[in-house]
Amino acid sequence: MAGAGTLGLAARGKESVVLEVRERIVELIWEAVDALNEIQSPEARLEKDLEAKLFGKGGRIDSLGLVQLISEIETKLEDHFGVVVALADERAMSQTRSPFRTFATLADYASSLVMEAKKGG
Amino acid sequence: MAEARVALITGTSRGIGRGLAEYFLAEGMTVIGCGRRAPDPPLGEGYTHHCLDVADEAAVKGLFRALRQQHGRLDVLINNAGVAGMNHLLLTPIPQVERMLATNVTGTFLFCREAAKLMQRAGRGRIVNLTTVATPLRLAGEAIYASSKAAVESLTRILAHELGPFGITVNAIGPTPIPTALTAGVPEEKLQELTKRQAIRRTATLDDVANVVKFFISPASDFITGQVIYLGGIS
Repeated sequence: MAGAGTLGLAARGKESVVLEVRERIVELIWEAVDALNEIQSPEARLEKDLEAKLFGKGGRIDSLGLVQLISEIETKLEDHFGVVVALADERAMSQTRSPFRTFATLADYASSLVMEAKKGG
Repeated sequence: MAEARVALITGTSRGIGRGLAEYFLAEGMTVIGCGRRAPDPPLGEGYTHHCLDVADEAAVKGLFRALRQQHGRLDVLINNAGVAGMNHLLLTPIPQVERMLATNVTGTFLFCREAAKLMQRAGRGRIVNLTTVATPLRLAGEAIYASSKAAVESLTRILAHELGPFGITVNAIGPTPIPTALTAGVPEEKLQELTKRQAIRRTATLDDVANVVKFFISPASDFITGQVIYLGGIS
């Protein structure tokens, strides 16, 4: 039983690390949004709403804006976590459900890549 | 007083790169340079050197991380680092081919990509790539060098389109031979043969290169992009 308890704790520990990483990633995404909004025209500015449609049908951002946003987020992930991740590589593009639908899906996807890179590094 | 413009030049150990670094420093710019070796004698105040191979992605990313932390901005990138080599196709070993492509093409691509990430934040930036007259002149013996620079010219023209919306211009200059380490191994008669094909028959000077670079990076040149200018009347 003691073993099972330890395992449970270990599992919860990992979960909380993932949550912490995701939380930090959301903050970094908002910083990137601030930076992008600064150079956008007022009508193109993005709201910091995790569930708002981002890219695709009904999305708030065009492809060029998405390129800028993704590159800014990649840079922030690199500076903050010390890992190099490619958010818009073939893997992301080949997913049936795009990670760029909302900020929430983007944060989930970025978290999984950062965790993977940290594990690998 | 406005903050000094920040310029990054690759290949500053010697030759054109070093000369341009000195020129920019004299203009009051902050200069970050890189290359396998540090410039000797050292460059003056306002210059920071990173020892690296321009095709080493991890090292280049490290340089940009330091640049973001120290300056938070980049106004000018000069992709000068280059490897040249003369050889007949039948005698050219693959390691020589790979080295030229890595430094001239991958290195230029890598610095353009990382610089553009930083420049797009400000909505402005100037990138100048170094090419060569060996490309338009189709010089025998320079197949790989000229091909690698043909790739640099394509990069220049395409990136001009990709980065235009971010206010970043991308241009290239192709000097005729300048007496530097890069041309030291070229036989004298070859250099003379080349000079004869120019409209103006003399070797180039660093001032000739600096003059074109100065034009490309001028704030007033924000409508000049995707251009390749060769010295000496080569076209």
